[in-house]
Amino acid sequence: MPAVKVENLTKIYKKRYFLKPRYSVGIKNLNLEVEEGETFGLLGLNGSGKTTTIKLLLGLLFADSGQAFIYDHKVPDRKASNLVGYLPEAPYFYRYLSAQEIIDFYGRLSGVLEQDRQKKIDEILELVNLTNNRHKRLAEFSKGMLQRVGIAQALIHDPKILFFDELITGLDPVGITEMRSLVLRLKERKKTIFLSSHIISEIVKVCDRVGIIKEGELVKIVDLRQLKNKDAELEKIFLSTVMPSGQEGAS
Amino acid sequence: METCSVSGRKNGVNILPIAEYTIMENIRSKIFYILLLFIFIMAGSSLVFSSLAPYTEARVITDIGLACIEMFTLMTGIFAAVNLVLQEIENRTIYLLMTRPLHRWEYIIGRYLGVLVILCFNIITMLSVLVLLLKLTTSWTLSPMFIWSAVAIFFKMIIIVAVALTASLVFTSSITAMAFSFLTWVLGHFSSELKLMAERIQSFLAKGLLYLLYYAIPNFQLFNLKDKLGIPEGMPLDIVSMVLLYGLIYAAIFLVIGSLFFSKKEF
Ligand SMILES: Nc1ncnc2c1ncn2[C@@H]1O[C@H](COP(=O)(O)OP(=O)(O)OP(=O)(O)O)[C@@H](O)[C@H]1O
Ligand SMILES: [Mg+2]
Repeated sequence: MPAVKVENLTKIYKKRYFLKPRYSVGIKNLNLEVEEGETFGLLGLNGSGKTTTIKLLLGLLFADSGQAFIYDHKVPDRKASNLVGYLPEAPYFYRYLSAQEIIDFYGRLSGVLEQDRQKKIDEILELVNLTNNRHKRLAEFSKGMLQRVGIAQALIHDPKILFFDELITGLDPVGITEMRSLVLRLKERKKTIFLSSHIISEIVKVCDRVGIIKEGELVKIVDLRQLKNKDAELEKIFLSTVMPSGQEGAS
Repeated sequence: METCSVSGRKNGVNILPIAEYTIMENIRSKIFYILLLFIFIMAGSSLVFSSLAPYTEARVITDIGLACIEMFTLMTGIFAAVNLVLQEIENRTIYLLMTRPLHRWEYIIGRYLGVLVILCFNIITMLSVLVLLLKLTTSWTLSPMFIWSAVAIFFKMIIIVAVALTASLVFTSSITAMAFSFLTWVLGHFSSELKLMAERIQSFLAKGLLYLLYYAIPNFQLFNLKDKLGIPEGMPLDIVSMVLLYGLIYAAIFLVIGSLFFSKKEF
């Protein structure tokens, strides 16, 4: 059974401006499967539909047609949310809580038992390197530290699948390296990882397969394990896919 | 299939953690302390005022004090309830909540109960200040009238907080929701007048509309518990429990409507 399955998923945003409806395409007829233990990257330009896909899988948005599954749970499903961890694009937190408190709160919501919770929090804070700042309020945290809180809350209930939306956007080189090694560690632990990015060099360092998304449509799936010079080849494939025809090769 | 369940987990009802962080959020916000400060300034200035006019009766201070407490609780209650969920959508902290195994109605109920606890605490704080004031300036003693007036304030909040929270989910605009809640509050205090008008008016359309309003809007006149104090044995408890039940049913209906709207919401 695939860990994530998306079938003909379509999402059209409707907005009303002075009662006149306006439509914009989120994603169109998207199909994809992610195997258990696989690291899958959704690669696309700004506004191509990466966040929309992830939000649909998490039940934050509802599809207009098609369906999606987390294992055998058709989303949205409360049971599916036990199996997934989510790091939103630029995560927002309660600023009045400390790192320790916020992770405890989300762990509690996910039903992590009281007797295990403190041990798990200690472990995860160590993993994301926040042990020394655990009692500081989040209002005093830097962007990189907040991103690590985001990872920690995504891991507290030990989910099988992780959705990372723009994991490294806005981080400094050290932060980027740390996030990369964290993803690799999660990979070793056999987690299924679904991440979105528009940065090719980062995607090739961690992903097994890459889906290229353009204007809401999944136009190509690339198996990185079959490429020799991953960086250069993926870049070539990506550019020739997302550029309007006739512009290929233009710098 | 049980293949995907995870051990060491308990997915019970998730209302309590939501209510708790609502309280925590309030205690740690600056507004909370500004409110407390405001209460003490009010009390202090009325102390000065009453020392200037030494013959004020306890009765007058009590009435004004209770009215102030009610208005103040109403304002803060409506404001808090309306912004409770809208703020969280705006701040996008809602994402991480709605992707947890948390029913949307659990979130709404948890938020609702959290605000009620805070309001209860605020009411008690203000009452203590009022009692202190009365003790210091007059020969006041605690009467059943005083207790029941205070209880009635809280009972009314049970309804109006649910109305405000639901209005915020239906209108998704805090100004509209606040206006709606205030209007409900005002009309709810003229319930019998509404009925009288509905009975007397000629036009069928207006009649229907007035009756609709009469039945849809909670009757806050029922909550004048102190008016029922004529009986020497004190307050009959079955009246209190009927009024409480009335409040709870109204709140429940509003919260169900609010949860329905909220369950269709996308983020
Ligand atoms: N709330 C919304 N209302 C209307 N349209 C939206 C909304 N969110 C996204 N869209 C539209 O849907 C399309 C896909 O957006 P999405 O956020 O999924 O892109 P993305 O790939 O995550 O982009 P980015 O790399 O900038 O994060 C865009 O064209 C966008 O304009
Ligand atoms: Mg995005």
